[in-house]
Amino acid sequence: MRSKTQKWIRHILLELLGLLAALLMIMPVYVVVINAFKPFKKILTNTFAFPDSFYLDSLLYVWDSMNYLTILKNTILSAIVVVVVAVVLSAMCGYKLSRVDDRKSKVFIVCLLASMIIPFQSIMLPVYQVVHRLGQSDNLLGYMITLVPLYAPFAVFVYHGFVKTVPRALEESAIIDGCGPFRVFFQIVFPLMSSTTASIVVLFTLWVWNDYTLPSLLLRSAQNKTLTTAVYSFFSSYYTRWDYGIASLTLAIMPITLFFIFMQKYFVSGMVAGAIKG
Amino acid sequence: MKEKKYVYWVFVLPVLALYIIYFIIPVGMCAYYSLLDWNGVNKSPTFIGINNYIRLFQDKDYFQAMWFSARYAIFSVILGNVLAIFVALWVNSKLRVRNMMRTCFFLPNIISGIVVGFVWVFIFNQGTKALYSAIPIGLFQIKWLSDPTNAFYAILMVSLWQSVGYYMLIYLSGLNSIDAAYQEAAAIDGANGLARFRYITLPLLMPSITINLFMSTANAFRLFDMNVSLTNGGPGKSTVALALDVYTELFSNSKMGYGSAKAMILLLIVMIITLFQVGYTKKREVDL
Repeated sequence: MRSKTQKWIRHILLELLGLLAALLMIMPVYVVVINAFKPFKKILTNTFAFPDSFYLDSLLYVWDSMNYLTILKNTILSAIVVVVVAVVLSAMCGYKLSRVDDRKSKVFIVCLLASMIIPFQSIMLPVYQVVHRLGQSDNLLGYMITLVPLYAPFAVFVYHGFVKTVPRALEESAIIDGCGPFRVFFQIVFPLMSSTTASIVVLFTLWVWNDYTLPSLLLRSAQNKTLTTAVYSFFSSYYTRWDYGIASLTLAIMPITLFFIFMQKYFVSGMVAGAIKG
Repeated sequence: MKEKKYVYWVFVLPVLALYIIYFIIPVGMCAYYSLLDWNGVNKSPTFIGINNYIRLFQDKDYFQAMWFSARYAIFSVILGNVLAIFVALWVNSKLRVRNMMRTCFFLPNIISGIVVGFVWVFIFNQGTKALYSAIPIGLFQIKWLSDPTNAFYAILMVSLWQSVGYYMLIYLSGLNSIDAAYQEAAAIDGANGLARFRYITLPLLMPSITINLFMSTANAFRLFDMNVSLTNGGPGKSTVALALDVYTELFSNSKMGYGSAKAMILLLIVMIITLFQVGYTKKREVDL
């Protein structure tokens, strides 16, 4: 009997400790978000208190002076375009490289694999120059085009592996029925890979959203900035005015956190798929 | 039923062409630049062979950056993985709060390194100040960002805070693939919790450990965003990591040749480590 009570107490303790650890983990983010709803003086005197009034002035100020809607639009647009283009192109590429398994395909896949380990900072200067020479610097579209090949190798690799589990018989019977190679891919194979696609979509959205180095190099003018670069210049210029600084952080954290909460299932599978790349 | 040849290229070429323009050519350019003495503006840079690389060996600041990155890599890899295994085991137990734990531990990982750095700039300044006025103990008086030694631990701590949830997920998927029958059999044979962990869980978790070890090592050498926003290399140059060092050399000092040599070294370090990873993982796959 006694050991049962002991076990029960131990279990309750573990539950409580787990809860405490979880809350401690999100504490810094929580503190930043609640302080965005306080006037500057309250931030200094009552940092950890829950706001006693719903103070919106700093958020509204940042919203206007950071040009939040434009910045958000730039970021979301980049995410959508990069994700769609990178996913479609890499699915096509990975599919063909897997199906036509000859020597040149093998060379291509190894090259793409090798590029995944290159840290971006080591090629940022030449990439910047290539983009500049193509007349695409400080241009949102140029930025998006540059991101596609940086992300595509990973997706090609994942699709390349996944296509092997899709039976060829489906494609062969469709070809006999007179289906062209593009319809075979887009109407039969691509829909079959939707679980992989969902994971990659979530992962790439996160990558674009959090990208800092490339937009800081390419997108210099204010109306072309994305969230990370806008927050960087905003926070740096309001270094001691916490109210404005953390309001900008809050505006950067909110959208991606909502996205995370709704897409949590795909986050997990996407992250694990990301690890297998090794 | 042989497919026409152009179909293959229509599928493969878009990615391949972009890849060549934005990857292969830049790596070649970087290798070439590293042999030049060039300020980026000069139309006719001087070719100086491997002099940039020789200069690297005499550069004290570069050694400091290398030492910072190496130290950071060792600490973050070991602590990150130990913590992540611990958290994964904890989350994997039959607790009611496990879903909440998983979500909360993973949440910092979805926020960009730039924002994470600034969140902690606020916590390290205003947060600790408020904590000290509530509970006046020495712990809350530590100047995390203005002291070189502490700034290293600040970066380490924040990066652990951000990355542990990610490594936890990998370990969780590894733990889930372990058949519960092994644990039960060992429990019946009288093995206690620690022994079961040491002789069953840990060996079967090896594939996940391998992946995480090398991934965290490569990530450690890629440290950049948080380095920029949390300390920007300061105080002095005490917390400049290799990637930030490359960035400063290229875009602040305009030393394109010398910066490119540093970039090539960074590339080689990450490549060598990752090649070890691939080789090692492949070998393990045969063993299992």
